[in-house]
Amino acid sequence: MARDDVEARTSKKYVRTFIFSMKTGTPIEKLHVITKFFMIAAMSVLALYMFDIPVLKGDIPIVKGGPDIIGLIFLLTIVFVLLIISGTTKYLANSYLLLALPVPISEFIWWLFLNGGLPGAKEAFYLWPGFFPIGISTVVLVGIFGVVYYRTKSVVIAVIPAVLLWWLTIMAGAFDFSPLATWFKLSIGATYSFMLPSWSPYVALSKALGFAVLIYTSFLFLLTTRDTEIAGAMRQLGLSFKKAFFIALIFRSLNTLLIDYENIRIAQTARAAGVNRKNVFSKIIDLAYVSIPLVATMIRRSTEMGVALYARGFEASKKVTSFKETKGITYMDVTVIAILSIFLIYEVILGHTINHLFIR
Amino acid sequence: MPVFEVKDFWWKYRSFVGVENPYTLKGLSFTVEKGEFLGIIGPSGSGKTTLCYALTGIIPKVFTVPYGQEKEHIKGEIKLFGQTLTKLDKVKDEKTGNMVDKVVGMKQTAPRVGLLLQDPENQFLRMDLLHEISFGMELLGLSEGEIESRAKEALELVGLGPLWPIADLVHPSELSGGQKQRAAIASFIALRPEILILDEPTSNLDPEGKLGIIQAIDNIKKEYDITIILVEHNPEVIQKYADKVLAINDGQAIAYGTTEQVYSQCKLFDENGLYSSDIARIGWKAGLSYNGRVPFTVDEMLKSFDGRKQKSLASNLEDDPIDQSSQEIISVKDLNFSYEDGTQALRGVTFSIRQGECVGLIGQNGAGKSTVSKIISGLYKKFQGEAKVNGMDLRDPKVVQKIPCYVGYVFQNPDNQIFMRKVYDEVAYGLKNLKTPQQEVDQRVKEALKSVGLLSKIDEDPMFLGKGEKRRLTVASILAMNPKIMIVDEPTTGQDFRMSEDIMNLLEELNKAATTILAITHDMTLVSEHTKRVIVMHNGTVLYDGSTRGFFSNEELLDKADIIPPMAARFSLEYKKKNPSSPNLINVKEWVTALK
Repeated sequence: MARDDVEARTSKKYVRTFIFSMKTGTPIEKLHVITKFFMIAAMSVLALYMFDIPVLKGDIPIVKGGPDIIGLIFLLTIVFVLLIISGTTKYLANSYLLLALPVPISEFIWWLFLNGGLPGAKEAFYLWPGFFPIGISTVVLVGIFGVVYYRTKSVVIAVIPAVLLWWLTIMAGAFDFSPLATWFKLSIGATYSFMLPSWSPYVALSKALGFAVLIYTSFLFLLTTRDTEIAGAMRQLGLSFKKAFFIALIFRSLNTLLIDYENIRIAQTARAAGVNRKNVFSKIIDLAYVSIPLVATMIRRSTEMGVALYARGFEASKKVTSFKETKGITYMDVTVIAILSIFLIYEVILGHTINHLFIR
Repeated sequence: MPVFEVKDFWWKYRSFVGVENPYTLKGLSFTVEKGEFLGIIGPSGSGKTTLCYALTGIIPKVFTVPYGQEKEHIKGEIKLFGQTLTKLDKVKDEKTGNMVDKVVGMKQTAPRVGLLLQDPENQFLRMDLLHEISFGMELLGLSEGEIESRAKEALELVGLGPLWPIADLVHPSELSGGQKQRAAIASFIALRPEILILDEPTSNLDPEGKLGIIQAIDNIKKEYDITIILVEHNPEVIQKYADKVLAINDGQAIAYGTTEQVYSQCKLFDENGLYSSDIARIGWKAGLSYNGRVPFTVDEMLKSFDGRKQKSLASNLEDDPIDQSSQEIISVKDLNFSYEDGTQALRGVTFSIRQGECVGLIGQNGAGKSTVSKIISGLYKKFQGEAKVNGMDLRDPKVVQKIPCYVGYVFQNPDNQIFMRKVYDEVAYGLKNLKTPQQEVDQRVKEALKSVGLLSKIDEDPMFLGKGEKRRLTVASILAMNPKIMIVDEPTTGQDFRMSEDIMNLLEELNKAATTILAITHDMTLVSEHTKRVIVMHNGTVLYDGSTRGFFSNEELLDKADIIPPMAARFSLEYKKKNPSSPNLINVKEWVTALK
């Protein structure tokens, strides 16, 4: 490649993906889409195994070894590292973070408080230790509130995660309020505790982490995969050019559909759709009204696309050349698949956990 | 031998709603020689696109005729390179052995004939630039090396050469409309067509995009001596490049010949609502002549100017744009705005607009016109700086929620704004959102429809209205809400001359009735004829805010803003070089008045 071409290529910092864009030149960009797909599938299977409920004999887990918290943290860390190096975290934080949080949080609450059928002897868990600890938990409270408020300028939105994490920190320290973690204790209220099966917190945490892995792995796939890669992969798997093309055309049409939808919603706002408060039913009707111009536009577009295809000679084509449609499998793909396979064998087939490498 | 021979060709689309369609093409006959540049002109709905489809075989291969009804839908013949492309012929039915009417002809015209459509979005079929260019070549089964070299060459020819190294990384959403159209041209050029048909390729584009397309067409004509058939409204383009012109209206040819022969028929143009250049209209109405016909260009006008004295209009022309005592209704100060991807669209924009003004908001694509308009109409919320409408601060979310009561926004594409299946319901939609009492809704809907000339269509389905009617319907829908300010985005794009005049006259009427109008447009003729004040945006800032006349008379500013003034204003600028005391006339009406 000529020097100017190399410079032009490196100057393009981002490339468009299914949703948003990713940084070019990163390891995740170089992976084949089949590898990414295997990665999603493998991490999902691992997460499902890692947040499984332990089978106990007495108090000791047998067979599976219980929820693999460290393994899940390890998986989540990998996912976030990949998201960070692909340059997508800012977009993810701005657009989907709040949407993605309710599932892990609700899983945690359900498995912690509402599922009495978990194994283990009942133990006391403190909801409130009877004092307000000034220490690391306070730093977490103030820090999280400050960061979220700075981003959102909303007290309500900032308070929720700040209080939640502050409370979790207190809960975590409820068993050991060492001078390192708690510098001062302000007596407030009485001690509130409740009896829960001993495995509850671990199972609850593992469920939350497990679902977080599933959600953010899916985001990783959508944020770092280009639509052209899907079409190319289908060709590599033996699908004919025309079939692969039409599947790719669906993605292209979705792209224009989203643009049209956005334009139509703006036009609706301009016609005072948001001026007066509407009940849920009216809002659903408003959404339904979008379908009229949207369908009309899509019909017009699909007619013209049909004409454009005919004009390119699509109908009469017999022997079709595959020009840079596919991407080769590299050593990086093989390495990633190998590592994940080993991980799968270790966890799923042999039934071991990463937890047990660190905690006996 | 001509490349195209069209002989008495008739075409009727098949009907799907039970009502018989009229013939769209009625007995067209013409020829196109090899290497010729044929311009096709005509008002909206005249059959230009249908003709393009017929010349590429899309009619009747894609738009088919019902079996057994061929005689009612198609007549005549089209020949391509001496062979039958489309013809109704008697053929022996294999099953019955009877002679039946059947449409015969070539199965495929690609790659010898290419067709570029109007909407760039619908022709970009792949997910990156490289595969878009190579698509046709892949279908032809060319070798990979051949595909690569042709693709690179094609991109260079259309001015997209710098994108070659990153062509596989460029997503269609990263390209402007003009770039998409040039990519589509490149994809055809790579196929080495002998004929290229372009159906209004520049109508959806900004001036820079238009220029790029025309330049690309010129390049390929010179490079490959391709036969070009161009459907275009802009008379300057046709006059500059076309060898012959075919003017059609209501499916029939109304004029056919060289550009001189056709464009000198000013009366015919006027009667049929066709665009003729500012210069031709001035020449025709003022009785000027160049070589026995009306002048077409600024140079010809200068030569035909027989030095007749102009009336002293100077004292009437340099008028104040607006009565300064009227209340300020829009005010923006130090407005800054960035999109999600980090692009800064507005940098410190400051201007104010008074009640009753009609202001043109102009500038290149990406200058910030739509962005500032959408902030004023409450559609974009996260901005820095100050923006007020009717004294209300747009930083207050409660104010933004109620802004549609004060500011009406008419978008460029009517199809995106029609939500209902009845014209009445469409106009009533906004009023119902404002919780207007039913009696008042009835009254205001009828008044609005009457003012746009659509009262007779009150029970019709908006989907079946014509292009111009849909545009008027969207104006009526906003009008019914009685906004104090109306923002219109590209009101005349894709419209023919008559429709454009109708829309602009309507807006003028509204302005006279005290509605403040802010018109976002690339049409400088429209700006010169209907606005007294312009705000010129450039790279997210306000480059000029003042009288339209002042702007179109200042060559330095025009250069800086990258704006080509209307022909009438260009003529003024040229004329003033030799006659510095002459007034700055900027539109056809002023020149005609001055020359009478």
